[in-house]
Amino acid sequence: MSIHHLTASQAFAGTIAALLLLVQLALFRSVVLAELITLYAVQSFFVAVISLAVGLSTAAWDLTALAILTFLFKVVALPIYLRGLTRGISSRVEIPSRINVMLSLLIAAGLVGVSFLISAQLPLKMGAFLANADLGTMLSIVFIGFLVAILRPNAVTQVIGFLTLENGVFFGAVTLTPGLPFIVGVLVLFDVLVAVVVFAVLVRVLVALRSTAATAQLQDLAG
Amino acid sequence: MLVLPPLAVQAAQVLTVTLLSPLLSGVIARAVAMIAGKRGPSIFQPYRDIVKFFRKQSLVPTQASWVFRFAPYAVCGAYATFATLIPVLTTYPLPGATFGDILGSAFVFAFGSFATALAALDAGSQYTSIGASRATMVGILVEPTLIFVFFSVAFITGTDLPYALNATLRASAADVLRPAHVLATAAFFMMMLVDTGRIPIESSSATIEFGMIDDARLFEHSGPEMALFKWGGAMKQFLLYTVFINVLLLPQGLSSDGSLASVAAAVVILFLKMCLVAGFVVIVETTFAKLRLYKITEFIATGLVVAVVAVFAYVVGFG
Repeated sequence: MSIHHLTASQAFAGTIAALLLLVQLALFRSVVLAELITLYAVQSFFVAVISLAVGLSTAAWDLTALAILTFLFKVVALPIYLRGLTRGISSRVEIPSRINVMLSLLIAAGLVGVSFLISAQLPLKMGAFLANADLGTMLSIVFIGFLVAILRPNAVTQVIGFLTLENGVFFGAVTLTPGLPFIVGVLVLFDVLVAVVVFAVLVRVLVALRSTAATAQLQDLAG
Repeated sequence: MLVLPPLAVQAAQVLTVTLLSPLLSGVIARAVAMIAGKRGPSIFQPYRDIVKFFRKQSLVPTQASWVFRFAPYAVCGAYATFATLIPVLTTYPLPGATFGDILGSAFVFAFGSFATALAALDAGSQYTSIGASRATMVGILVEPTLIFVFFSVAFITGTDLPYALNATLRASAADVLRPAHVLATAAFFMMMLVDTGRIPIESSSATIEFGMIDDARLFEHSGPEMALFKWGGAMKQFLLYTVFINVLLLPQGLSSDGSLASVAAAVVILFLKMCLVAGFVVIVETTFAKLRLYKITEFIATGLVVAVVAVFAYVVGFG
């Protein structure tokens, strides 16, 4: 197999992609709420870094601005808010998974394999930021984000699953289409805000009614 | 310029590993204590411990056979042999270095654990037997992960000789940062935490049998044999750090001509790079909580998934 030597920007994007995937796997395995929120902040930080790097290297000032917004909103504000939200719930309690950890890890590995295979098939040029690997990483993060939301029956984990999914999409958007219009980026951020508000209401209702954020209780509420 | 003959450099490699390994353990123990707000033991404490054990009387359980007495020498011998197979100080292969590839070296390395487990069972005590069974369970799970890590790294070079891997990584700094390599390195780091008995797996300074894995195997040993086991443990850690640094992460700073000055510089640079890696290990050690025993398999399985993903990334041709 011939090996293509990487340029500095490709190596940088590749490293960030790998780190994002690592954080996503750690997040997938983690069962403690506080840890999940920290991991989400770390992942958002990496997304902000790549956005800043792409913005500075291509002289796209909207991406630079978006990076700063991402940092302020997703690395600082949102985790603080989520911590406040979960303070009422005993956050040391582990969130059970619907299936056992080994099986869920195997499913995750399979999904990553599928998304890598799909993205390697697409006739993308490697580009300045290693497009194939970015697309593969983006798809894996989206899949694992879904998996987190599906397998952990807890409102807070479902928010975090959704938020990491958005991180993945944002990472893909920044690296694959550096000309992303500013308004789209801001809209995505706004989307996150709306989602968080909706979930916050859900969590508060659940906690008030049942003193737990486990969504299994929702079926009883229908009563 | 004094150029050392290759055999002398090879001897220097083994001596570096044997003589500096307790110092690395001492530095880590001191750093962990300092972060916890304590003053901590001197960085030379592991040497004093080893000397102390050498002066003590050696006791052997009545039912133990020669396996029990032979094990500590096998452990130290295996680790000293491993030191000749990997690039510790030089960029070019030294005499005997091509006797085994990275998997062959791993067999030599595993022989140390095998001998320890045999001695633990031979001692006939429940505690040492539990230690042996736990360590073997963990070892079995770590093995496939490491194999996947080295497969993924070997994809770049088309060979899995440690010296060749080192040369490829030195050739291009950006290649160290390709996604698959970052993932493989992360997986190796996780396995390194497992193999050196660091905190998500077991707390290295604890004295309760409850969470013990590696140290539980040594309860019946005493005197010089215990000293050799302690020394072997330090060598194991030093060697894993060497592989992590010189084969996977930071291959720069090795001697390329075998001159006395460059070999001496390589020893110093290697130790500084180790302190850097030890810094990360100390951060992990002080920020994470120890996992419960049955959660260890999940930690290792996560490492396996990371290593498998790294291989995927190479196979589909990302970068």
